[in-house]
Amino acid sequence: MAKQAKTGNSYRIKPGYEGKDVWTPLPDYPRPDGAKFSLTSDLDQVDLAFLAEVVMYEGVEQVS
Amino acid sequence: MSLAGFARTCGLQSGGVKRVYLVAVPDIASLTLVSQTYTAATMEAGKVFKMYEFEPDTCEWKEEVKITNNCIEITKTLDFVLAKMSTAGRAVVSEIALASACGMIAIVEDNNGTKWVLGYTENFLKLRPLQVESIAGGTGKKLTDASQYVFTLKSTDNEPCRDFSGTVPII
Repeated sequence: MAKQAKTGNSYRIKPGYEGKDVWTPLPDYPRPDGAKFSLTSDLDQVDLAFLAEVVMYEGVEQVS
Repeated sequence: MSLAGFARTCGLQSGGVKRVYLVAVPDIASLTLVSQTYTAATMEAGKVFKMYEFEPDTCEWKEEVKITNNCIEITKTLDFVLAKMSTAGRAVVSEIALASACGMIAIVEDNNGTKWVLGYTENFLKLRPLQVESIAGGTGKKLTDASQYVFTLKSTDNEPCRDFSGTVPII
């Protein structure tokens, strides 16, 4: 079962950002790539929620 | 606009620069700004910044604000020294000179641990990056003279530098 964001919100990568790498402050949960997030379908909702809610990254949007 | 003032802090501080990271403009997509701090760097796939190890106490970044005809102009300058003329040094000169055409963006970590972004602003994004002002290589004349390369990179825009709180993209 895919990991879900704690907030229950659902996020996706905005068009035009796929394939890029975003480097953020080190997240407070363990992940193999640390602060590097490759914007592909491999990112789970926990990663996308971190980008959207903590980093306020513009390349991720909430799915309504 | 009202002034906000400034509160002095009493902590110790250090001058100078600890680390310099550079990336060619085509390799970086954007920086994410939150509350006047860049929090994340978006890179083209697989691209990262490169660190340039300079001689201790030879690196400095400066910004000079000028107002002319009520127009603001801010010049950012980054100087650093690589020791000993060599084949490896020649390669650095070559790559930085070539990268100057499209320009470079720097993250400069000062000796207080604050990382600063040079060559990228919100008003211009990647349009006014750092470019080579000069690279001076020389052996000196005496046995005790320095054999070195002195790099000077410069950009001009209209915003003071911002700090970077994210993880510097390096491998």
